[in-house]
Amino acid sequence: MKRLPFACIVFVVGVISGCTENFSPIGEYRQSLVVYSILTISADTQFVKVSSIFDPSHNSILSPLPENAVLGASVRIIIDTVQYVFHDTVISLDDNGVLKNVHAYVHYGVDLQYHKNYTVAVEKSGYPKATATVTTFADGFIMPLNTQIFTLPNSSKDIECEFYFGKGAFAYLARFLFEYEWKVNGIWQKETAEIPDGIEGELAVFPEVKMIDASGKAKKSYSPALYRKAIERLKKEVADTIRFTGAIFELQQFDERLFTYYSIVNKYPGGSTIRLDESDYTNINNGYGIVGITSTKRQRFSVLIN
Amino acid sequence: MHGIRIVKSIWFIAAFGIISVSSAVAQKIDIRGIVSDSASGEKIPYATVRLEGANRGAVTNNNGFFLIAGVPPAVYTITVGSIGYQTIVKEVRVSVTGPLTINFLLSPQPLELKGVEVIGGRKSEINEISTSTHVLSQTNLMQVPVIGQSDLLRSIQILPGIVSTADVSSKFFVRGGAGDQNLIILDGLKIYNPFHAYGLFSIIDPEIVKSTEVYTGGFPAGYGGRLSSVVNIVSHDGNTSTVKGNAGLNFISGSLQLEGPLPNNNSWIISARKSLFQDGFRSFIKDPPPISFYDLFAKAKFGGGEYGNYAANLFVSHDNILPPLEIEPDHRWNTVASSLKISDLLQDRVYYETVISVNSFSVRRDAKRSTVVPPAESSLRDISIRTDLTMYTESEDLYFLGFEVSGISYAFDYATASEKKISIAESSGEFWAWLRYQTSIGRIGIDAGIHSDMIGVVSASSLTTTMQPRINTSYTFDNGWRAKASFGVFTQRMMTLTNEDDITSLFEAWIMVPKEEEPQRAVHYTVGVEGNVMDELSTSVQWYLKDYTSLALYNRDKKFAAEPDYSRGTGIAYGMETMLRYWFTDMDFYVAYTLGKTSVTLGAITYPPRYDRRHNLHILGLFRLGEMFDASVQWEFGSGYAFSQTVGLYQRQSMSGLGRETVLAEPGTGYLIIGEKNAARLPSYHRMDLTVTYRFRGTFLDGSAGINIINIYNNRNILYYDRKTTQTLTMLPLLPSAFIKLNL
Repeated sequence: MKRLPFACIVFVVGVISGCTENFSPIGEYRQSLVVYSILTISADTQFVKVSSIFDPSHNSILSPLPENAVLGASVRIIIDTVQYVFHDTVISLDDNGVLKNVHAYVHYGVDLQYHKNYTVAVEKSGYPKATATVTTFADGFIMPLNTQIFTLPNSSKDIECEFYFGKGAFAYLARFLFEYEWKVNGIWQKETAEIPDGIEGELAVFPEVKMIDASGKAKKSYSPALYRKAIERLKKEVADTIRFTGAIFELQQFDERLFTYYSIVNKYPGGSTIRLDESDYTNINNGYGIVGITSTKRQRFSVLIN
Repeated sequence: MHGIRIVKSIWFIAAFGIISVSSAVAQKIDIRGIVSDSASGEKIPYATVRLEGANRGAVTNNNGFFLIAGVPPAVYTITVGSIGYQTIVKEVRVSVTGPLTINFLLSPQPLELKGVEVIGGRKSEINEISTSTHVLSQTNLMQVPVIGQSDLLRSIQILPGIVSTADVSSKFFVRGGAGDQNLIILDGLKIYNPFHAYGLFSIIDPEIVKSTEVYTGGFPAGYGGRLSSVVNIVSHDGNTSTVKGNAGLNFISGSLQLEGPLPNNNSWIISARKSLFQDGFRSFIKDPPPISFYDLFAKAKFGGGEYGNYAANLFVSHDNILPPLEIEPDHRWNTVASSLKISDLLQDRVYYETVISVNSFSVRRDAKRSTVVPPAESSLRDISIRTDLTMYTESEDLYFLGFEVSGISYAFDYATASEKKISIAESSGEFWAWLRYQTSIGRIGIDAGIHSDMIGVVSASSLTTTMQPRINTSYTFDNGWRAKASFGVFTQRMMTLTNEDDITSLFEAWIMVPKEEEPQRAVHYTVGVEGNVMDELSTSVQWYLKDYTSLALYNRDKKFAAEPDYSRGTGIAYGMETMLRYWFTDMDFYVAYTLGKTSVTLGAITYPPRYDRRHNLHILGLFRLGEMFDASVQWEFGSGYAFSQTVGLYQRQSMSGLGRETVLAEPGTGYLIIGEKNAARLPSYHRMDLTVTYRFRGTFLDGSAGINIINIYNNRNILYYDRKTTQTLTMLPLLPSAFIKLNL
């Protein structure tokens, strides 16, 4: 009788020890589309990039992933009863001096209207239909406060500018750029250089994308010391034979979903996080990626001094 | 000494009301004294002192002190006993001349008569009423087969309700609670990082441990600040009669422990361990980086009067992981802690114990030239004073009063991947006070109390978090079986920053839930029954429910930098624990089975945490094989832990340029798509270990030597699946090792 418990234990241990279990670290793979597009209010040419996710059974994240563009898909932008059908195309991009072909869908005549809902729909057989709806917003406007500085030599005043945001916009990037020309092989080349918001030690601090607050506007000022230092650096780094031709204020605005994606994927720029995980975000139904809205407004002033 | 008088005075005032009532009874005598080990002079905790004929008794406290209040003058037979000691029976005459002091010296049982003692075999006052309480002796800790060297935190994992997620980590999870919800105390010192490198071993050498109380739930009012468990470790005081010690060697480290007397029946003890053999780590980790560690414990104990004790402790622990490659970061951990413990009889029936402690912990990660891991540094300093007051009464009811004040300062420096520096440096404090009452009404035992967050009371926080009721009750049946139930509310402000999906975490920073936010909160409910099925078979069954009404979890809805990293979630853990003990003279079997389920809810998502295990079974057999040999066999089975499957990957764009051309130009970087959180399960875990110990005693040398064989049948238990490399890493294979311990 006393041996019975031991016999039971030995039996249980023996049975369990002899069993094997199936284990798969990879779950059920379902083909899905990855859609990336930033629709712009400021132009009528729109791009949509469509690719497919990879099967983790046959692809490793440690190996370079090939371009997985999905060709022959139906890509449309729908507003109310109007549809814009995109065309499958190949765009050549200059990638550090090397031409690189990128598959994308393009439409040259989508003139986005303010405060409208646009649905991007992508269909391809074998994939679930991917859709994303975005809402456009109004353009903002730029109001420089003392543009006479650009024509006055040795001004000691700050360059100031107010940016007014369009209704419905969620985030913005306000920048100040100098337009300049420099000689390459005897020919003047036109370039732009961004003036930083500030200098911390030796590091230039450039503006970051920010959420729009309740005031609906933002004011920025650039001290002479700041932009003169930028000019000096430009002259030192680019060429002595440099001539300034213009000053540009630029206001880029973004919708909430695009800014959310940007914020999450880039680990909350402009702030900090003590989280150790890696989050993801998408506004694509049945897919991955992001469809967002942007608008760009620029105001240029001629610079008469150097 | 002036400070001690002040402490006494404060307590005298605080306790005056109760004392004045209880000591007003005339013509009755208090019997009190100390129970000590006759060989070492060490005070014996949890010894039972029975006054036969009067149906009275007491259990010694951690300092071996007992008091039986209000005994009518007569001649009594006193029986004093403790596990591992020969019982003393003595006749005493109690007269009306005043309190009767009787000290007892218990002789350790000769080894050949000791039999084997298994975890759960020792009973004490605290677990006669309390549910979820286990008391472990040093013998218990040394008997469980473990990897390389005996280890306190690994040994307690044999208890029901406690699981570990990896062979290579002594980090543990109690009844569905996270790893930072366990309070570990050594002689009143809170230990914030109880692990040596990678969590392979705990930093507390079992050689210094006199006893360990493990509360897996419903802990009494004297403890707070954690949601899941308390591990209260009491160290040896040292030998009061002779200098002795032992030296040990295993395939990883060497240790030396010495203890001896000081004048006036006082004692000291010092114990040190150091990693010696880098190759030993290869058994645990594939191609381990250079790992080194040491720990040092020193204690001096002085008597002060008849019952007074003053003990000064120093505890130091240091770890390094220093890979030679510049692209692999260095890690360094450091703990320096010291305490002064004062205990004495304050009044005739009032015993106090005060611990003043200073604890400093830091961890530093030097990224060197790593592009993957940023540099980080975390430090914490805790200066605390804790006082416990025990009041004895004639009715054998006990009152426990106490408070704990902690000043905690912590700093956390971290550079994000974008080299943005985060610096948190804050000072905060905790102020706890408690009142606990222990009584019995017929067959019903009651241990009830309230643990109060005084800072919360002052700042008018919610009563549901500031006033934490605790109650343990028991009912004893005719046949000796006992039914138990407990209820308690617990809160926690301190927490570690970890990725909850990480298997092991080298860098864990402690931070505090901001003052303006409510702390994490859990409510424990436990019911159970225990008793002897027959003379050789005892059992207990408990059902628990842990309701996490507030948990700090990753804010999965965080979109922007200004939003908090953590948000409030809830959780629930429930299950059943069964313990079975079956013994003969030279054999002892212990079986612990836990059926548990844990889930966490954040917003609309409910998921099991990674350490949720449905079934967990431990079988431990201890055998005495003649006079010279002991053997222990352990088999553990655990159903698979929760994990998330990979369901795809794609080229994710950062959109850092935020222009429409960005979409075209940016190729993106590979990003894994994870399926439903923790919806899948790893395969079951099972492993059998064997330890055989040979004891030798010669003219010049005595000690023990033995072999451990881990994972006898070489089961390939899965540690984790590396999503990036797509490799499945297994835990320890068949692993034989040897050890030797010499008594000096």
